[in-house]
Amino acid sequence: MEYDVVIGLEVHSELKTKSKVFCGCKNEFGGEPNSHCCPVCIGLPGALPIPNKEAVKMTIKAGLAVGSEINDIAIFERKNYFYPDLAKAYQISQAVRPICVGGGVEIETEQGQKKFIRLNRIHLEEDAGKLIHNSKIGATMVDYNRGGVPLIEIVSEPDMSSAEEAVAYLSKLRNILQYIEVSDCKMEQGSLRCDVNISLKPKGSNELGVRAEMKNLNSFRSVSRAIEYEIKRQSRLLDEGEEVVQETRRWDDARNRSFSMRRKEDAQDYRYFPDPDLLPFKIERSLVDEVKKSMPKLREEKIQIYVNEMGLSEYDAQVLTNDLNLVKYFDKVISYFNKPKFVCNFILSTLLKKVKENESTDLIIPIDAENFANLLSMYESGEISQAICRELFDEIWENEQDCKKLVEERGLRQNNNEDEIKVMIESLINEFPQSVADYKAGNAKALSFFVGQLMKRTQGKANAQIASKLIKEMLND
Amino acid sequence: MEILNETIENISGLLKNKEISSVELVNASLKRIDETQNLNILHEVCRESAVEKAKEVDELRAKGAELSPLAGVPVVIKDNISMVGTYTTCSSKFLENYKSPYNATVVDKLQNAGAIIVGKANMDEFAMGSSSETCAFGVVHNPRNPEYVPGGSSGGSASTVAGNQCFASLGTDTGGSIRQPSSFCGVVGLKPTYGLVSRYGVVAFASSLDQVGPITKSVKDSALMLDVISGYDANEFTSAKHEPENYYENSFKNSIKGLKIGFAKEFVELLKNQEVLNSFMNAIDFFKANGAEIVDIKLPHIKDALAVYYVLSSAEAASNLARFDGIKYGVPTDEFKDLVDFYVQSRTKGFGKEVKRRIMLGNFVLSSGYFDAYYNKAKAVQNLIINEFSDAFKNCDVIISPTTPSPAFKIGEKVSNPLEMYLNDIYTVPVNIATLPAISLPCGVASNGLPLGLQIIGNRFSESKLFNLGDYFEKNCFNLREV
Amino acid sequence: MEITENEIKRLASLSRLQFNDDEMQKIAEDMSSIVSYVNELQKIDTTSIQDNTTIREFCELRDDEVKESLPNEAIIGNAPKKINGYFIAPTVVE
Repeated sequence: MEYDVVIGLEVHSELKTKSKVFCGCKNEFGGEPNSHCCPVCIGLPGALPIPNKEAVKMTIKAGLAVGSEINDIAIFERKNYFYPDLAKAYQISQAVRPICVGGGVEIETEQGQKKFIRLNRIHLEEDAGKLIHNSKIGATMVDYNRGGVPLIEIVSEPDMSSAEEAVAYLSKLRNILQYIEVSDCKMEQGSLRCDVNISLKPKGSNELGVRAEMKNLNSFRSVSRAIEYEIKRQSRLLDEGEEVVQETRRWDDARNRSFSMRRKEDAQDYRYFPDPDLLPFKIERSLVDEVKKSMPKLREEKIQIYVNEMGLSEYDAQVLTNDLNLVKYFDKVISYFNKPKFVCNFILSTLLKKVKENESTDLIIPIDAENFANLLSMYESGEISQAICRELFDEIWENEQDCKKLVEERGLRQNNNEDEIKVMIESLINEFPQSVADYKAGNAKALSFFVGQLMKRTQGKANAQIASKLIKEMLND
Repeated sequence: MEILNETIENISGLLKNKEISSVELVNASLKRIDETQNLNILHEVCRESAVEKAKEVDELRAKGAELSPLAGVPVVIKDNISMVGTYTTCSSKFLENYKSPYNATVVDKLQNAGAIIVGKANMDEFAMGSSSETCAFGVVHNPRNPEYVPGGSSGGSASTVAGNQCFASLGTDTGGSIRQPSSFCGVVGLKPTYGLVSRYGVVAFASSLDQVGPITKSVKDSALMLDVISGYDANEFTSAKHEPENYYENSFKNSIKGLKIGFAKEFVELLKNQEVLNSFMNAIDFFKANGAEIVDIKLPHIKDALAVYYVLSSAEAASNLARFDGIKYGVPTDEFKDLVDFYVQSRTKGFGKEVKRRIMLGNFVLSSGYFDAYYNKAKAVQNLIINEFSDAFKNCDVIISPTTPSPAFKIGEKVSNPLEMYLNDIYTVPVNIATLPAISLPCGVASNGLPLGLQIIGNRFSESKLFNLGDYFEKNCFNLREV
Repeated sequence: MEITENEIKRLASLSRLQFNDDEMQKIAEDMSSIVSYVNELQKIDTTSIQDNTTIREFCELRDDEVKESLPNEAIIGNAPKKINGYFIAPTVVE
């Protein structure tokens, strides 16, 4: 039997405010347990929440970036349930009146077609603490440092129909959130989390099937595999005439399968009601305008600028803008050395290779932008040769030093002196008569041989183009 | 000691003139507290810290510093108000060992004014009750007659003032918990406008209704206290940004001529007790005879306020009390099967019957399926009541009513029937629902010897009107302290 | 309105509370009478009330500044069970 797959995603992203969403404790990953806490975020009796303006602004920013409507009144509600990582036994979240409503994100399907994934809402809420199991004492340790960190929850409509589409959506969302600088989006660290809702229905049918939910998938790979697994699992059940149970399932990445969580969880009645400590408040249009004005450029705009104003190719611009950190680095470098095409080529051919070698998901470039700009500038002007440039680059990547100083101290300047080079070529011609003969016989490789030898003799400092030209001339004589 | 019978107004004069020292006052207070232990008014006495603070104040005064009228004056706070160095138990077994690491804003304000906090007062557990009989550490006794309840939930706060253990106290009022015990004990109790006094650090019962307020021996003292404890608090999102008024300086005009006093017959229709009715009508006659105009007003939905109150306050309480799980603080169980059972056993052990009832009721009205019919409906009726008061205040300056439908009852008389207990609050509850201020002051004595109270209700932020009328009544009609 | 024993059990679970047989009976009775009382609200005409929302008149959101947290000892000071700066909770089975 053929089925339509219906997928909706709920993405949680931690906002990178300085302080937590309802108190002034530091919003910082790590730290000694329970060291960023106060009466408010650990739920001491009598403590009261005060919303963080920046968190509200960032939520608005996220909404504007995806074309949502910003509600003129926002209501915080209490989601009541018991769990040790939830200090107050309720999470302050939003239900009937979230800050952002609607909007959407365009993705490209596997067939290369554009598809618009609609959003239902984006709302602001607080994160819970962390639980760490301690088998020595047979109990669970609780750390509330993460409790109260601001989260936005981005809920999509069930518009996706495959694992690839889901990952494309997630990737696009991540890129946007990164670009508008509201989140680090580090999935492994947990600052970006994804829940998947998936159901199947007979092909062409209008009636939605029963859906299963999988929570807290923390990599693109898990999302993809979890969806593939579910499609298979649900198809099998339906094929056999059995029913899919509405439930929450836990995805086990190591075992590549999902498990049903205890049914009790599904019977949760969260008893949402407006938080009486946080009366509904107006989101002034002036605040929204303020946020609009401070919106950084999104990826598409950046690509436009790179292509239209700097003459980069569409492909190059795509690669460059894949990660905001790279964009920032690039922009900084060209602020010192304004040859965008040149810089871009070097980055794409050489720097990105180095980054990939590091194997981290987060982009780390250990070379200061100005230093890097100087290096490229010296190369472009002919002050140093390509070989020297590559060598220095490798060296300062491992151990950063001022490259101008290095060139000076080690006398690495390219030798453009034609007379000096001619002298060296002379001696080479005398040394390798067989290669001269080979060249004259039509073997082009012999030329490369001489160039190579010359570079060796000069420790790579000879100007390769000049050398090549002179060698040809002199051999032709 | 007779000195303990004084008002803050008088005692601060004596302190200023150095006719008495704060250390002497505190010692007198502590002595009286020890003598009246049988009334079970205080849960904790802050002996050392009080004497130390008194010494500091005396030293400051000796150096000639300008001090607040409250400086050096012994006061007590209800045991649901957080204070570093003390237990904050809310009179619950669950919080028997809980010591707050931070001060409530009102405590900071009292301490900054130099007031000396000598103790934490017993109360109905988690502020849920009208008799202080649900206190986990024993019932509180009315100082006027120990066989009777002092009212609740601020029974200890009212008793400590009525029993002359100190000069003033702070209570909290969610449905009448300052005013009703003040009426039962024969002292003055003010519930300020919602948002006027900070709730930060006060253990929440019903967040949208709770207010901290002063309990004093006189209306003027009430104004002195309000001057100290009121004001915008950036730590509370529901705190009101109201321009500070000098209540003590500006409220007392010594005249009520032309004052429009609203009278709603809905209030007396509910009244069954003849003595209460008589003392109330006497008050009305007095006001009329002294230049005030009695205006008829309508409050048709006042009778529904109690139902609204029980729906909304229970809902908020159920949520506010969920944090008591025995992990971060509290006295948990040692015997449990699993995580869920841990919660169940700890909470079942730690909470009393009334608290459990309210939590159950709260979760009922918040349940999906009932939320619309109960919670949302109650919210809508709340708006009706708010509008009715608002309309009434277009035609009058203040509204009066009896504080309670009957005087204090005997300990044990009403515990078995919760609904009957709830009916104690019919006059006080509408005030919280409408977020208004109201003051209760003694207006007579019942045949059982227990006091009767008059309630004056005002529009939001009209405390000065309440003070003016109350003081005038106290000076010229009835002052229990002179009876 | 009568509150059944099943309903009490459901609410007790939501409330994380337990009642023995005697208590069960009493609380069912108490709740039935209280709920019947508050049921009277159903009879009130509230069609004139359009929107229940009270908007906060004065509203100061907090600036995003870090304030000093409480020291760890103060945070876990009241915890009945603690270890190495952490709170201890009964084992959570995932």
